[in-house]
Amino acid sequence: MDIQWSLVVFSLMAGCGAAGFAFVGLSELLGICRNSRFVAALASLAFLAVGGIASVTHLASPNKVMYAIQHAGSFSGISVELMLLSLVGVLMIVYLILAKRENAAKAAKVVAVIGLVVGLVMCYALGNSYQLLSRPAWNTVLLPLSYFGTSLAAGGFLFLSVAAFKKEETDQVKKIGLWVLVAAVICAVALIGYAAFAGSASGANVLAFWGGMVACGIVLTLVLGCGAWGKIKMPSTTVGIAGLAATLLGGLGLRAFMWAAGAGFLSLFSTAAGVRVLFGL
Amino acid sequence: MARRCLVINLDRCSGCDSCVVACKFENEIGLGEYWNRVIAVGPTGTYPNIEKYWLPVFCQQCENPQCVDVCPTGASYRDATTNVVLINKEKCIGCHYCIYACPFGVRDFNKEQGCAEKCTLCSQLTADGSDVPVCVHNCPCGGRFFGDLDDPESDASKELAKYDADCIHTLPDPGGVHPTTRYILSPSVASWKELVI
Repeated sequence: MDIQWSLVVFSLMAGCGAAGFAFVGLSELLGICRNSRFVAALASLAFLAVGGIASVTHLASPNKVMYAIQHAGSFSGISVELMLLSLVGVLMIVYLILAKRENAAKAAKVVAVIGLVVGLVMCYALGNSYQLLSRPAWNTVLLPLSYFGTSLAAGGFLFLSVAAFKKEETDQVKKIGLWVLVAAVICAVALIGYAAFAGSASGANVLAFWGGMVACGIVLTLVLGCGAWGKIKMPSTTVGIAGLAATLLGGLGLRAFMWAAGAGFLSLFSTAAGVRVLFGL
Repeated sequence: MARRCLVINLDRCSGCDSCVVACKFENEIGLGEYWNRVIAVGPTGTYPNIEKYWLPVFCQQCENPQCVDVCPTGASYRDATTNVVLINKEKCIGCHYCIYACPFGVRDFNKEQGCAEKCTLCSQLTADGSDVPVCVHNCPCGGRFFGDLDDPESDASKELAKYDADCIHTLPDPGGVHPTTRYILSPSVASWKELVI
């Protein structure tokens, strides 16, 4: 199956943005990395916006998108994605406004914590819409869990990068680094599960699988996750940026692999267009 | 509710593609796009025991249509009057999800109009019960039948009633979609292949 790059970029960028904002919420809950929150939320919004724009480029008739809004109550996969994308975007903007206002710290915290929950749900929902009966290599809960894991780890490293650049205190960076490691472990475990499930699917893309999912999404993400917790002697900025790059490449690998391996249960028109023959010579 | 569908008698199908051509003419389907196609299943076996049959494929009018479930705009829908799964092209945003969600790969994409398309059972002709789909009318071997499976007097039900259960088949179900289209293939003509290995 052809890789749908618009959708790859959409779920990768929007997932990273949503998870980055979830880490802003986490920092509010933990009361750490205060100076990084605004920039991290801004960066998350930028990722979300890039993802949102990418999703529109996938549509053949984007001029009719109002019908999707009118039909949001169907709770189809795309409807849920659209609602969550809008909700997270609004929460980010409200948070950014509140963060700049005096005496609004409590309100900002509430918004950020809601953003934490909604952001996590969105990371999962981005993969959930692909769990289809018609695509055997997609029809597993391991797929949305892998979307969740890669998004979460990318968002974690995004926040860590900002915290390192903003020169937060070492112990605070280490505290958030522990949560980045947790995200990296979730990412790696989910990817291992999905790789085991779908790794032998026909049409699987070798580079996306071994280079993206395994090397970047599992190995490098885990190593740099340990680095985020301070277990490897590397500057935090290096760990953050390298981790963000590795998780984005891992997420890219997952998504590209998924599309390449997404052969249909039956693809009868494709069969007719090709050899026109099933079973025979 | 009615279960309007096509019944295809594969004992009679010669693989001539008349149904494909008639469908394209009636529904003004673009070059390289299809709502109905015919696949050769086989030849299988070893000489002299060789067998082969032709399998026309199109929207299976699933009882649990995945295309309707995933459509974000309601463009894919089940008609309230006829109970046929249709596409409202005015509402289709061209997201392709219905195409990804169809377990049989029998939807196509109209590149000119930027929307998904599929067999409508010629609703423009059949909705009021006055006519049959053009593929049925134009089948030179008389192998296609249209009607409501829940109506024993329909052409589709009458044709099915002529055969034993071991001659009546559906495409394999990936899990609860329940395709409505029925295929008749007698074991004396060829053995039915499940297509999913």
